[in-house]
Amino acid sequence: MSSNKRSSNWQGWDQQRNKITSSKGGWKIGEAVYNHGYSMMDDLIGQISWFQLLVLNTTGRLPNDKVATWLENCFSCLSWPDSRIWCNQVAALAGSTKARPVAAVTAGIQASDALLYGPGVITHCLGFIQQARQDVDQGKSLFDIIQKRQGNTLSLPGYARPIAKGDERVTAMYRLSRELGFDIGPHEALAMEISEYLTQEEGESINFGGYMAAFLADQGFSNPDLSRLMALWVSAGVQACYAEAADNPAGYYLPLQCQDITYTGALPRPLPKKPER
Amino acid sequence: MVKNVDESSRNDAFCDKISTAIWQETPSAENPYTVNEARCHGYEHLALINNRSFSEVLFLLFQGELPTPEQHQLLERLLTSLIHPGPRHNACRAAMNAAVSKTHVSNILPLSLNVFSGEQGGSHEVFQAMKYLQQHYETSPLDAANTLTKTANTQRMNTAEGDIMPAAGFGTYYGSADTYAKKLVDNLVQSCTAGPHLHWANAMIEGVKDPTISWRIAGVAGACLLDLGFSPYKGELIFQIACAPGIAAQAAEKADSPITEMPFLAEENYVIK
Repeated sequence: MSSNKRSSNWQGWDQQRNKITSSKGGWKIGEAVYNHGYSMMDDLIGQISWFQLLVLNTTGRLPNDKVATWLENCFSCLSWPDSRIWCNQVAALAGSTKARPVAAVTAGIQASDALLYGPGVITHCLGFIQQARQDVDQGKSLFDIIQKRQGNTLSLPGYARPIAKGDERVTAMYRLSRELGFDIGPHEALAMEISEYLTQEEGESINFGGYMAAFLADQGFSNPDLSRLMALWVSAGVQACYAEAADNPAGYYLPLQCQDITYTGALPRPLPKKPER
Repeated sequence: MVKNVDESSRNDAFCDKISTAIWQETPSAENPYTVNEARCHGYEHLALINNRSFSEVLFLLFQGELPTPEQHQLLERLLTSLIHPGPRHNACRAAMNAAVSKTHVSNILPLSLNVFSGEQGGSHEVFQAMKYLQQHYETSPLDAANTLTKTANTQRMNTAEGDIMPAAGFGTYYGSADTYAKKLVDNLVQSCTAGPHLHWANAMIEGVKDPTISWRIAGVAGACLLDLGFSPYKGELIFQIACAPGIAAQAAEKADSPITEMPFLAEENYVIK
């Protein structure tokens, strides 16, 4: 292989050395901080909400205040101050070891990147409702759409949830959607139709992730933007559970005596003599 | 229509107590929270401390049995092979950046391991490489090599920039074959009793017609970890443990350094499009 050919293998990396090219923006010292072309101090501070900024920085689109309000409430819906919830418990356990706030909160947020709940489900929920809409447009029935997944023993992303049947957050956010003046879009309408069908057939219904994905699909959000936007989804609930545990004496959160763990492993055995190689 | 949705508990049968087969703590007579004796898979902890190496007990923790001498040697050498991902690795740079900016020391390793979690050059590549090897190692390595070559060609045609990874753990590294990963493989094969996954993957790579497609570190780790009996889930965790010392050391080296000890790109090199 010639040296020219060899050097071309890493030309792409060489072009990036010691240089950052950003379409997001950045800090021009003595001039301004730019966010997607806006001067932060001149155009944004005091004029848009943090959620508008979050969407702008993540996606490059500055949403109107109604979308931002909807998103903010969506975050609230996943921020219950109940430390039995898995991600919240992680933060509470951290609080009970007197971990620092950032460590505890990030640990809780990381725990929420899961397949059963939290930001980890968004890709699946969004993918399902987008595919379902295409299927309906091609003439498939709800029965076909649902059977296609359930017949393949695949779950139905965005429907049913752990612990409880039904989802009160859907009711609240559906109400908010209308109060804010959003019309029911095609994804939302289909998502609710599927929910009604499932309620009749199986007693299950849409969960909050499913509703959120359908609503935001109608607002033009898609992956990977949506997964990125929701990364901190559970943060306020995590904060609450960390704070309470951290305010109590260390080890006071669900303390366990030795006997509170059931040992199911090997019986006591002598350590064998180390074998020679 | 939404108002019809009721909410009711599923009344799942959650367990009352945590159970484990790994570690047994016997309480002291004085206090039920303090430990009189601890055992790992039946072996007394103190006996392990005094008679076994860290890597042997690491193996015991995950596998339930102590390693054979051959397994111990392979694990020991694999752990040392992986002990430092190199100071250019993003995880090390994250650790050093955090260190000079005086991030609280408690956060250094967790944040660096987050950076180290990725699917390309991070721990999740090991998970996926192990999945790939599990799915293919009973097939002909030459057939797999041909598939890999074809996939690489397709990826090269469709991907304008970046590395080609026709299978997790195998591909280019900065556009070329990763010569150091190959050295590590050769060293492990020559100095240890390599298992079927390592042999199979070696045979596959030898059959790949594209000289830029070779072992990546994740492939090396994945093949060895499968040969040691680890699942992909356990393998990714072991990989993170193995690489943590190098990452942590890079942060510790910079802990007392001023913030100027790491580059802050000059204004003229920061371009806003």
